Order: sequence, then C-alpha cells, then structure tokens
Amino acid sequence: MNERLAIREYLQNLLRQTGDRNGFADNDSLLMSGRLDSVDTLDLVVFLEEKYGIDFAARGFDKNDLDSLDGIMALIGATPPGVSL
Amino acid sequence: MNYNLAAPMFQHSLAQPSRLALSVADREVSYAELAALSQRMAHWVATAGASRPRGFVGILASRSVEAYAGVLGACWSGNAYVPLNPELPEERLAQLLGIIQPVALIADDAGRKALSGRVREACAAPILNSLDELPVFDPADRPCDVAAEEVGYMIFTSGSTGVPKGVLVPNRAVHHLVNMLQDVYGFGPDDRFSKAYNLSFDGSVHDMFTAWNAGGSLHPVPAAMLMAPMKFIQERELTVWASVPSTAVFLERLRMLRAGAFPSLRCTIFSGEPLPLRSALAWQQAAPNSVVDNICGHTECCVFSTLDRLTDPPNVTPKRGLVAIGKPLPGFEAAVFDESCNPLGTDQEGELALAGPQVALGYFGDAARTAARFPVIDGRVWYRTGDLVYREPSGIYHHLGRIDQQVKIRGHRVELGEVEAHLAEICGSDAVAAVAWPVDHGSARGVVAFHCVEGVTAEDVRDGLMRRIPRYAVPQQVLRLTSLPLTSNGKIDRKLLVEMLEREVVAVS
Repeated sequence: MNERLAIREYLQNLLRQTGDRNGFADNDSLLMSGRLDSVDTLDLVVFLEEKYGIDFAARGFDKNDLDSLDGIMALIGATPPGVSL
Repeated sequence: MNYNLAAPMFQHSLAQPSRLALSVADREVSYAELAALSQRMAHWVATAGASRPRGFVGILASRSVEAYAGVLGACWSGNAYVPLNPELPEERLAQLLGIIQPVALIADDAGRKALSGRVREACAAPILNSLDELPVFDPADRPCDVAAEEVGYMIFTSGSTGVPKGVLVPNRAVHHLVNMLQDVYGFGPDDRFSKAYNLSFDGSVHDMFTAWNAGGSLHPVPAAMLMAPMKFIQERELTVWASVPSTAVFLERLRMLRAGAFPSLRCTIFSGEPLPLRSALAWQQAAPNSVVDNICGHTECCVFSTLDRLTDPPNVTPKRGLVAIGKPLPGFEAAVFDESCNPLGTDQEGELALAGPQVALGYFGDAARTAARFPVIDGRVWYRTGDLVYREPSGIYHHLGRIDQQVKIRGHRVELGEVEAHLAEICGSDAVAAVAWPVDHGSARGVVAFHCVEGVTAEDVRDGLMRRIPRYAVPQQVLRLTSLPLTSNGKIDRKLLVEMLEREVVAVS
C-alpha cells in the first residue's frame, strides 16, 4: 500500500478510537489542535518506530513533526539512509 | 502584614530589578519590567472596574506575558484572579463568566480568539485587548494591602451536578504554600523554574508564586514541547521541574530519559496523577542531581498536601506499582476518616482528610457543598478529599483510588456525575451512566458513556458534550444498551459496566 495512504489509515483509526469521525486534510493539525492527545501521540510514535524504524530517542522528539500527515511524511522522508521503508 | 500575592515579586523588583523574572516565548522580562507591567495592569483593572467593588478578574490567557502580568496585576489591584482556559468550549466559557461576573477580563491572543459573540454576551466587564491600552507606569504605586483571609484566586474544577465548582483560595494559603516549599527546597534567585502547568490547573500557582517568592525565574514550556521537554530543560538549564507524571511516562517509553540527561535539575516535583515507580526511577537516572518528589495535592488545599521523596529502596504502594503519596507536608495534619468523619487507625482504609493553613474557604456560592466537604471538627476545618487511602505504621500514606465518582484523566479532575448530568440532558433521559475506562496505573485514559435512548446517536451525544464540557472529559465511546444494569440497591452498577467493557461484551449502538 502507498505509504501516505497507510499512514492516513492509521491516523484515521486513531481518531476513530477517540470518537472523532471527521476527515482531515494532509496539512491539518491533529496533535496541536487537540484532536489526538498524548496517549494517541505515544501510539503514533510507537507505530512509526516499529514500522519505519524511526529512532526518536536518537533523533529527538518534536510534536510539530507529527502534527499533520504532511509532517509525518516529511519525517519519514528525512530518515537516514540504511533504514528501509 | 500585606498578604498580596504580588508583594514578593514587587519586593524583588526593588532589590534586584534587572534580574530575570519571566522568560516566555522569545521575550525576557526582568523583575522591574514585570512589576511595571503588573502595576499598569492593576491600574487598568482599578479604572476599568471602578464602579464595582473588589471581585474577580478573569484571565482568559495562557503562556503569554499578558497571562502572568494579568495574574499579578489582578492581585496587585486587590482583586482575586480566575484563570479561564481559552480552549474551553464556548458554552462552558460563557457559563463560567456568568458565574464569576468579573470586574474585568484580561485576554491574550488565544483568549481573544475565544471571545465569540456568545462569550462576550456573558461578560459585561471591560476587556483588555492589548497591552497598548494600559495606562502609564506609576513608580509610586505599591501592591494594594490585602488580608490573609481574602480570596487570592479561584480555580474551577469539575462539579458532579453539571455545574463547575469554584474553589475559593485565600491569600494565607498561598503564603503558606510558597514559604513552606521555600523551607523544604531552599529555593533561591539562581533557581530557574519550569512552568508546565496550564494557568487553569492549580499547579501553576506553585510555579508562579514559588518562583517569584524566591526571586528566581519562570520559564513557561511551549505547548509543542510539553510532552517531550528534554531540549527545553537542557537549553534553559532549569533547576526546578514540576509537571504531571505523564511527562516522565512518555519520555521513559520513548527511551529518552538517558542517564545524566538533565544535570541542571536539582528539584523534580511530580503531581496531579499517580506516579509509576518505573518512570520515577528512569527520571532519577536522567536527573542525577535532583530530588524526585511525588506530591499529592488538591485544589481545595492550595496545590500540594503530601510528599514522598524517591529513596532507595522506594516507598511503593503494594500491587499498584506506584510511588506512595508519602507524609503530610509541614503545616498539614492528615487523618483517615470513616464515613462519619471518625478517625481510623493505621492500615485501615478510609478517606484522606486534611487540615491546616492551606485549606480553602470553600466553594463559590455553594454553602451546602462547602459544609459537606469542609466539616468543622472540634473547632478545626478539615477538607475531605474523597481519596481512598491508608496510613502505614511509619506514617506513610498510600493512595488506593477514590471513594466517589471523581476520576483523573491525564491529570484533569473529572466528576463523572457532571458528564452524566449533561448526558441526561442531551439524551432526555436519566438512564445514563459514565465510567472511566480504560485505567492504567491509576490514571484513566478516557470516559465511556452509556444510554438507553433509541435514535440518539453517538455523534449526537459527543457533539452535544463537546459544546458543554472540556474535551478531555468528552467520552471517547458512547454505547447504547437496552437497559442499564442495577445493583441490589437499585443503583446503576458501574462496576459491571466496566467489567462488560473489559470483557468486550457491550454492543455498540
């Protein structure tokens, strides 16, 4: 599956779990707007670590990076070589 | 003696005018500048609300110069401040403004965005829209004289009937809090304090007034960095960190609490929700020069009440994996009460009750609830916390949960009764229930709502609640049952509802 679609589906599922069934644009804020909370963020981080090998302990964590689908795609794109996506 | 909460900051502005008092966003504010801004705020409040007696000044602001100068200005003018979170739903904000009838309202950019037509209708008071509106600085002006028993601030907490409770906290309580903590931690002008708590969360009272009592500097954490504040702590070289334990839990889970990561910290205070031992130990490794304290507090007892310092071996509450809540802080007397307020002995489970100089005056406009929660026993006012605890023979208290329907959701107090009251209105039926679920390490992840009304959808309920109560209290799931299970006493069997959720036997509507 297309990576963007896969992540969109994951985010939609997270939102659904909070009862939020509204759609979102690629650049819509999901974290800073409060649609996803800290526990959801932790789930998202674990998902990105496990599926895309992103090591937040090594690269640091900035909530802004994960705030939108576009941001997450940029984060994945910036992952150092050697990590297979 | 003048108990004005702005007085210590003002004294430091005379003794060390150029010293840093506040560093917010990209702005550094010295004690002299902060005092001048506060005085101008106070003058504006006095002028704007001149036709009214002293009362409440609403602070519709957060993490901005306007917010902190507004708090100090309200106090300086002899009024009490009431923090109002700009992120509250419109209806809730209008409701709170209707209750407090402020003499003036101070808003920052975020606050102004929340000032919809509906909210403005509920607030007849003058609104400060910009710092440019402030009158000129009067160097001769001093913080107004206020008495120990006058109200310093009021903070709203969830109310079980659907109406938020305003907790009236007198100046003497804050005075005791900051001076007691000064003795416990030996704070000084070189201390650099975090400000992680939102202004409407009473932990902020500790952050602001303890920092300015010590002559230190206050560093509000930007919202984007609240979950993972490593860089902020390191770059600001903070010496004092105070937050909910979720910060440690999050960082520990991400393996970001590297040994020695926070060498500048010397005091860490976790409060607001249960502290998992594992996260406390990881934080201690990251902050080797810091004491790590688990503090239990209640808005009705001016922020902090009991303390347990992480030791080796640690004091752990059996079977819960949580750090104990420790012993009463200096000035407090603690007891374990039965249902009739009779004191219980060691190892007996009951309700934690507290007495001392930090106990609040009661709830605004609610004498009955005040009398129930603040009983006078042998001439002494106690606060019945609703926390289920026991005291071990060493005097250490352990927290076991609640005796009522109050839950903590990510550090926020939520009365499930309040959710149910609104739920009943939306559904047009009293056959409703709300439970905290799931619960992990003593902290609830969210709320699940139940009702029995055909035709009322989950979206109807959630949309209705989103307009009335804070987002964190809105149920993540809304389930419809044909009927609610009842106990043998005919009450809704909430335990069974939770069991049904855990066994996944509930049919989603």
